[in-house]
Amino acid sequence: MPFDAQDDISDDALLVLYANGDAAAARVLTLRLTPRVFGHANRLLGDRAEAEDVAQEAMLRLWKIAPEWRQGEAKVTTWLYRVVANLCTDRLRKKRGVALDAVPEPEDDTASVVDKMQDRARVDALQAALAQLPERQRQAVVLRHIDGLANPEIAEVMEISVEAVESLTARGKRTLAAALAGRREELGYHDD
Amino acid sequence: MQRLWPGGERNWGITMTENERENAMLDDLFGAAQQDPRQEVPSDLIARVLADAEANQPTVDEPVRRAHKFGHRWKQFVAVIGGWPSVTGLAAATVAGVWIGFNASETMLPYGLSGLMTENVEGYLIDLAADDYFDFEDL
Repeated sequence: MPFDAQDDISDDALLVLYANGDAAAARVLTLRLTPRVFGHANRLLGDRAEAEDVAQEAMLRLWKIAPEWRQGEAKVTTWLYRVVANLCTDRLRKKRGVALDAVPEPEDDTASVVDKMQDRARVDALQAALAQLPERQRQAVVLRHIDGLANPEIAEVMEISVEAVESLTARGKRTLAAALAGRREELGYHDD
Repeated sequence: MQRLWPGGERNWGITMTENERENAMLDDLFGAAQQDPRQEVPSDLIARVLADAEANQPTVDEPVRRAHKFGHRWKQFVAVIGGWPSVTGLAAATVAGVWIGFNASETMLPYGLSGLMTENVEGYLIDLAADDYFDFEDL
């Protein structure tokens, strides 16, 4: 099958193709899913190197489960987000006890454009505030507001009700706002 | 660059509440996080994931092996019910049940199954005309 012809095929259909030996399906799935898996892990962990390991491990589990995958029963992305969250939770638990200020500082920015630096500073501030949230709140906020999932899908990923998702994201946003309140001016948000 | 709040004094003098300011700031931060170029996947990670995919991809004969799973489950079932003698007993009981159903003797069913469909059973049928009635005392 031509490579670009697989762009419109659903994830689970591609997974079945992969299980049947289709090498092109593996490539499409890798390019389609790895960025989402890596991005989600990176936001939950705030650590690029660890996020890479988690992303690789999550994708490896996907390849291994492919022969057993039942098409139409679950969304591949829902399953993957759940695996990533579990892997991140394991790593965060191992790291527990490490002080928040021991979380690696963002890399130095050599870019000279002020806007770009400010955007980076904002993202870093958000990441630092996210790190202060309880794990479930952080997961819900990241899935909803950065990964852009709808509440029903988040409910499936987290295996909770939609109401519980709404409650987690609302509480998470309130905590984030409180954590960032003192940095408004510094981040370029002026009240005028 | 100074960023003005959406609305504020420029928006017909309508000022934002504290809550709206917080939400606007968070929305802006979430947007910046989505656009963050540092979220780009490292190419060597893609290469490693692809290598894993190749290493773990089922070979051509593996789907055939999967097809034999039914046989595996049947063997498990036979083992659970006590082996082949139990299967034989179960099969014999099933056949006997079917035979009895179709060839019921007079001892078991006085007129056989066919008797249910003949005139012999007419006595059991009650067909009341619309204006007929009976009292329970008559029974």
